[in-house]
Amino acid sequence: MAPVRAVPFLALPLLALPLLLAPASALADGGPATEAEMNLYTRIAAVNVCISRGAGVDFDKAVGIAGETIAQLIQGQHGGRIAQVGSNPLSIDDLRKGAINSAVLGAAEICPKEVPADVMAKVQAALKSAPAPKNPAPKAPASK
Amino acid sequence: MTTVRLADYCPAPYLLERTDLTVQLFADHTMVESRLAFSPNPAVAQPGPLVLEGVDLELLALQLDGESLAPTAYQLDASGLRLLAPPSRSFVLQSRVRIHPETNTTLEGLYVSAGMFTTQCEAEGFRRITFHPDRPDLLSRFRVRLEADRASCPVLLSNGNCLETGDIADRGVGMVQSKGAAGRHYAVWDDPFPKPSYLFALVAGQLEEVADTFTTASGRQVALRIHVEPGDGNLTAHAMESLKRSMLWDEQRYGLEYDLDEFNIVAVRHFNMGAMENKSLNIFNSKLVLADAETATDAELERVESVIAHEYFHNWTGNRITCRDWFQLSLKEGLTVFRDQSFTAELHGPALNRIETVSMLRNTQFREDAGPTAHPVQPDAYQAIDNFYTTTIYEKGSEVIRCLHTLLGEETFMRGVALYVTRHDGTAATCEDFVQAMQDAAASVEACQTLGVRDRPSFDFQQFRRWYLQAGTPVLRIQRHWDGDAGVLELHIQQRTPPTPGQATKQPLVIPLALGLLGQAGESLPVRLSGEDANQAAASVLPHHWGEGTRLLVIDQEDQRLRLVGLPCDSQPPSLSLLRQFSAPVKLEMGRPTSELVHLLACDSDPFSRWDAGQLLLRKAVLARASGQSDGLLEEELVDAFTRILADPMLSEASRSVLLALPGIPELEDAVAGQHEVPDPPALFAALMGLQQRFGEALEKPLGDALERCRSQWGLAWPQGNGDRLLTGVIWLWRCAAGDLVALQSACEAVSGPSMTLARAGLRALNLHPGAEREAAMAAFFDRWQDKPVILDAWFGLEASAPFADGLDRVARLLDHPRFDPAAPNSVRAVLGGLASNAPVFHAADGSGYRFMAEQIAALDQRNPITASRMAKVLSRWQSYGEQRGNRMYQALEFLASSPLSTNTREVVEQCLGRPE
Repeated sequence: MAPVRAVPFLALPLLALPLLLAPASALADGGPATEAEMNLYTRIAAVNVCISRGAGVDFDKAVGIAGETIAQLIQGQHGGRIAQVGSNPLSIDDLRKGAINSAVLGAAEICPKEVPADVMAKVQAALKSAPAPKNPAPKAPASK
Repeated sequence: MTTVRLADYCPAPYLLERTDLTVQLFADHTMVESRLAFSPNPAVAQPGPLVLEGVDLELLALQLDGESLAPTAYQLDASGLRLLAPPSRSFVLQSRVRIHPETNTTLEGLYVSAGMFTTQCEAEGFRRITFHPDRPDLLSRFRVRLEADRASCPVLLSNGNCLETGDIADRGVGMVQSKGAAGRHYAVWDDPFPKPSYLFALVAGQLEEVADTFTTASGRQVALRIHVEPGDGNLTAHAMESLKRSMLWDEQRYGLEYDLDEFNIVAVRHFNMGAMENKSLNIFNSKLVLADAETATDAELERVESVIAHEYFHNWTGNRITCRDWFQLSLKEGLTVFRDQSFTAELHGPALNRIETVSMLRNTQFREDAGPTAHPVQPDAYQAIDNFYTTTIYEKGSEVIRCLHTLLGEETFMRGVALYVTRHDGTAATCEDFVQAMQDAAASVEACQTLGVRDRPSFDFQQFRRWYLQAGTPVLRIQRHWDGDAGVLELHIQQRTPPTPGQATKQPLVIPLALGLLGQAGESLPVRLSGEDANQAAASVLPHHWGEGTRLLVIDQEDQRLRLVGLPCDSQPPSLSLLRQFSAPVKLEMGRPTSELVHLLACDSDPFSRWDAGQLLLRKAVLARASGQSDGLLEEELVDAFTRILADPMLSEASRSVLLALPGIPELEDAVAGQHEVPDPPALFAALMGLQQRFGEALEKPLGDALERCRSQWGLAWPQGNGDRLLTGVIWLWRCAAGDLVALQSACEAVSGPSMTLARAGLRALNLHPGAEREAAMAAFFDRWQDKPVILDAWFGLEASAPFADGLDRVARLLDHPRFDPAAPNSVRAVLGGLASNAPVFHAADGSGYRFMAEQIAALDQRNPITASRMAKVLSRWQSYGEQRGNRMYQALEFLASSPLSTNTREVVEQCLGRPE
């Protein structure tokens, strides 16, 4: 509810930063990273890239930092294990590569204007064979 | 009066799975049948009796699982119905009641406004429609069948999606049609999202519909409809565009998408609040929907946009995640105000938006925090929850969330919001849940922190939570010592929060203090704490938009000393730019030489701090005049500063107008009280008038030049040109005060022009000066808009605030005016609010203004307790006005206390008198 009150004034446009909601629940407790948790981490990485780009950070650097952050997170919180990949832990290098790829794909979806044209072209080529998921629709209970 | 306490909260003994309603609307009564499907709450060991709230309901039938209940099975009184031994299994309770919306003047529950049936259920209005638990932590699926006369109520709306419509005769019962069904029709609405009863709404009436669509990020098409009284459809384009902007922003910024197939807004003339976020059926005060450049000012257009955004944003922060109990009101309101402020800041510029927010906070919330109705962001007790829809819950609640944002940074904060939404979607949550989500998000970021030095200092979340529990505005007292030989600046910072009713002692808070230093040439100087090297200091600087070289410091002790080193050795200390962007809702106490404030006003890279320095100087100047001793030197410095501001090519006209704005009387009163003196509102008002005249005379040439620049931009459509129109208003105000006949004439002509912003600016400038121009302008405005009540309220407000000798007679005439609608809270607020802002009349030394106000509030309370109790707060500050004036105000309160009053108004009056509970 909004109260009735005196009105403010004034005006000028500014950049809006995107953030997609993560469908995962809370952060994990040491087991392998679940699909939902990986989804959350991937989105966090993508958002980090977008925010960094908005602040003027080079794309490669932004992606590198975001990927490193997520790789460290998976190693620290889950011992490098990802449920979808199997029970064996991945090396930190493999985690980095995967996280960087996810961050690039996510950034292409969330803030495509912040992704360099050559990278975008590669992403689109990759998407032709495996389309990226859309923005998650909110949960809508079935009408009875 | 019963006091409700947070400590007494218990989960409901029964969960409510469904609420099915059939509402039959007639001209002289309404029948409501409800079917409530209960099941025992597994979280409660001993269910016990079931309490159903109900006010002003005539119970006609009551059945449990289809069997009528014997009168011995329940207790019925004026507040509701108590089922003494409900089954310990799932069951269905059906009731049939008769209510009278056609005579309901409280504007709560179901009532009639201008021939239209409408509802307002937050906080406790649903209990005026049917017997129901009516508590926010019980979420149920609603299906509603509405029946009404087709001719008088062709439009039937409720929450969710419309499943079915038709003539009642069409459905009929074979060949037999009851007499009452002739010409009647029905609509069935289903809301798939479980919701608390306070989000229920229905509307039935003759309405003009304006339709549009919005395609969500996931590709769904949502039907958007705005319903207004016939003839007003041409005034909805701005509201519709605002809605679409809001929907897009929430997707892009927070990833939150709309979740139903349609979204309806209805404009209602008689409404206690600004607007209400009922699920998919927002109901708005018509003042906040009907607006274009000809009928609304630029400020009102922005307000419409922000309120539409606010209610829309509630779909997630309020509806999908609601409040466990009303003590958590700020969970939804503080967060949603923060979101709508961010929306407005991103659309229209963060700096000026922040200045407006802070100005409003200082003039309203700080005042509340220092008075007898002060309460924490999360109160721990209430008698009437309607009294807690306050600036503390909304604006201070938003400021507390902004503090979290500042302390955590954008990225961590957004992760925290995502975590909060993910965890609590579809539930009723608490303020604690929100802070915990932020804490967990911060911990997860901390756990994977690989980025080296952070620009945000760490803080104690547990201590931060005190912001929710402690009332009062914290004060930071700052003393400094400058060692020019060593280039070391020492700051001694003490924090204290003054006592408030029921809270004698306070604990230290976590206060984010954004700070910058300026050298003699206005250059930014590095803020380096003792023990840091230059690289560490540089890495801790906040992003550029905070102002050059800003550092964030955490003040969390009662007594703290900071040593800033590595500064240029100089006999003059650097200028201290404190509380940049108003990084925390606190007051600063610090001796500051005029020269430093002038330097900050000229050079500070943070626009807020620049404005704030100007405000401090202006406050000094007004207070000096009010005490009878004008500070000529200071006023001369201000004239010089304003001359530079008016000519500065780097500033926008909007920035100029903000930098030239004089402080409000409430904050001036606070400033006087801060000097341990008694504020004299008429003297402060006269000082403001005198200063306007002084500036108007001394700045004739630069004001004239600025006016010429602005004039060429007057015709631009909002948001373009708004700075020019705003500055024009300041120039007219000052030049009219100086007696400039050309300005008086221009202001008068604007009343008949195409811009409401300029028309109202002209009226404001003229309103302070009795004379032919004023009378002609006011008459012209009335003639033009007398058939548009939403616009005419501005005329009532201006007339009531005219500071002339016939003040109270004038207000009495307004209350008897044939165009005054006593049932419309907007009109009441315009007249009584106008009187309260009329310092010479309201604060007349003989107490006549206070007594008049008290009499009006007592009468209003009989019709509309919610509006009356809010209005009663204008009498809350008697303790600050000294013996004579204070006694008069106290006597007016005692008169009110001796009158028959509603629970709402009595609670406020008793608080004001210092007799809580």
